Amino acid sequence: MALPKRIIKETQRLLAEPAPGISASPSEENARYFNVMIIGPSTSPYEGGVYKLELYLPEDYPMAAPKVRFLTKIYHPNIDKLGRICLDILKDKWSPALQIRTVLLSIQALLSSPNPDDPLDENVARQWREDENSAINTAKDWTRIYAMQDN
Amino acid sequence: MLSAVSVSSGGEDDSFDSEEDLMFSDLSSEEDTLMTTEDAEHIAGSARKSVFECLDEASVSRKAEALVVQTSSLLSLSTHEAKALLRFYKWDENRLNDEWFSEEAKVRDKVGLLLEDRDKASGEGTSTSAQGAVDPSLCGICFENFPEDDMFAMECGHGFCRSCWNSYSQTAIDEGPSCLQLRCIQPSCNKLVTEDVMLSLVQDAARRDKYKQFWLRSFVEESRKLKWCTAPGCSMVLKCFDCPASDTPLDVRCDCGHLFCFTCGEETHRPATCSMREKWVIKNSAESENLNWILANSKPCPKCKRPIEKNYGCMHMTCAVCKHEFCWLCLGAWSEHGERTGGFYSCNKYKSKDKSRGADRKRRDFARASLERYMHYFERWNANKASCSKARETLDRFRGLEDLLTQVSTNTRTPMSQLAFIPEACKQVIECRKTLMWTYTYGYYNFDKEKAGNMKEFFEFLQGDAEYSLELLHNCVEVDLHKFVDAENCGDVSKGEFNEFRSKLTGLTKVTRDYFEKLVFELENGLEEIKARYGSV
Ligand SMILES: [Zn+2]
Ligand SMILES: [Zn+2]
Ligand SMILES: [Zn+2]
Ligand SMILES: [Zn+2]
Ligand SMILES: [Zn+2]
Ligand SMILES: [Zn+2]
Repeated sequence: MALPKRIIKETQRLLAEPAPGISASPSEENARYFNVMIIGPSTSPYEGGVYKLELYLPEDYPMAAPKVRFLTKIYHPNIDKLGRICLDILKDKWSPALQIRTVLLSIQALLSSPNPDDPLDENVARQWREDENSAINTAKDWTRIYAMQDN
Repeated sequence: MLSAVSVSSGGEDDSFDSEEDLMFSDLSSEEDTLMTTEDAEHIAGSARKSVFECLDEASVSRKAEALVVQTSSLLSLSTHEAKALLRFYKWDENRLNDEWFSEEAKVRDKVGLLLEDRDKASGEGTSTSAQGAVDPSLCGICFENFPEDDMFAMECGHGFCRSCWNSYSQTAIDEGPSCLQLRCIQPSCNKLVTEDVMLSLVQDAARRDKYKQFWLRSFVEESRKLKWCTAPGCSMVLKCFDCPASDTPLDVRCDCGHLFCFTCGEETHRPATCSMREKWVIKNSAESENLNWILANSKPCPKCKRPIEKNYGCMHMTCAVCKHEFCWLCLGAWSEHGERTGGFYSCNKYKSKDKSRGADRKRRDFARASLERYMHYFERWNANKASCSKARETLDRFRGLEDLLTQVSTNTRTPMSQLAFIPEACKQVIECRKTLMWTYTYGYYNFDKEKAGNMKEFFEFLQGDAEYSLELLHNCVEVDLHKFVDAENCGDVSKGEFNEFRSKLTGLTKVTRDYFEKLVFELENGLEEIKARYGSV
């Protein structure tokens, strides 16, 4: 099936004018599959980390939301062990007027402001609520171990 | 034998003794409905039509439409807006009116209806977010350009192409009943996609039907006064004129014949309350484990056959009734066991364990006593449940292939139209068995131990009367009837004999109905009064 004009245009724009701290490029085999990188926002526990994600546009996109998942391990109350993300616009708050760019910007914002009251990973969220400092330290450790791959 | 039953009340009861003609004139008016529908009025006094009505889907739709039209003229809104508002307030027009007239703006905001001209997002369409410049011919979803006619926007002004609006609406319908509260495509916009818009966008007939069905379902499932019939495959709706309190059962009968409790949607269970019924059913499934345990841990005494529960690890059993001593493992007499069989069967071991487990035993005894109390009620509940199913089978035989009634009609040379009293009696039996079942549940929860005192006695007295009368009726309809079914026996059945049977059965039906009405009435309404009269001194 031919790629809808919407996807072509979105892709072009993502490549031509990338959002700061975010890169997204379609895979060579499948134009609906994107390799994404988000740079950990400064002043967040993820600062200095580079996070890989995969993003897939389902058949009924944009009527259905894109599917996004973290590939890099991350310690975050709204992201689970499998990298799945708890974000309203990826579920019931999705609107076809939103775009890949909006989704990725929202994920970047989620890294800056974790929300332990709407958790996906209950254990992480509990630690976040009970002892925020130690949770942040764990997140920093994980950033160093998993998201800084200079080695 | 009839007079023995009819002692309870005077006057009107005399009619069935001799004046059968009266009965017939009564019955002949029922001819048409005989065997085709189960008439609520005739069954145990429950499910009286006056407090509810049964509606088909078309008349439910008309009722919904009427409410919408009435609301729209009262609030000066379009019918589509009125419909959306009613749905939001669970079809409770009074609540809607109250809130609307006190804070219209807030209500509009919650439901997603704009004040005219107010929230118009002029020029702020999605085409901006995509391209950075306003281009009214560009659709912000598919990024294609369209002639103006192919673009569509609601009052909020957020324009997208019709094809995108169409997929948006269809996707929402496919997702389920939440499509009734679908908002504008523009994520920041709160505008509701009302019914008229939805139907103008979606052309696909199957989806349009589905959407209309969601509205009907919302009306039925969210209105307090309406419920779908719970019979599988039945699409009738029961409407209750005056809804009972949340735990008060209300028996309703759908025109399809199905009888259920309007309040909880389950099988009828008066005089037990809805929560009692639920607790009881849960208890039954929980206790079934305990009962299984007892069965697994008891064996009949090899001599007197009374079930013996194995209390401790020891295999040396002594029957409490006949004092027979035997071995748990082989069920052989203990006298045949001895030194040879070794320490495994040692009686010393048994005794020492017995002492150390004194506290354990006390707990066991208590658990046992409460289980026995439960068993007492459960056994009776269950026995009546079984009788109820038996009676249902009998009733089925009146309409099934065997058609007992036709046989009776032929054998006794009586027109079918005059035999309505037989299935009538059978329905009465079913109804009463069911009631009796649930009086045991009622008893279990209301008459706990001594504190119930005289009330328990009074309850059991009423229950006993009712049960006795029911046994007579049940026997009459299942046993006496057969005299008139088998052709061989019928040769010499006189008309007189059949008439006697008729008046006996008709009489018993009425007497039993009265007893049960009294029983249920006393249990449901009279408890306070009974307390005052008999007091738990
Ligand atoms: Zn809008
Ligand atoms: Zn479009
Ligand atoms: Zn029905
Ligand atoms: Zn109920
Ligand atoms: Zn015995
Ligand atoms: Zn033995």
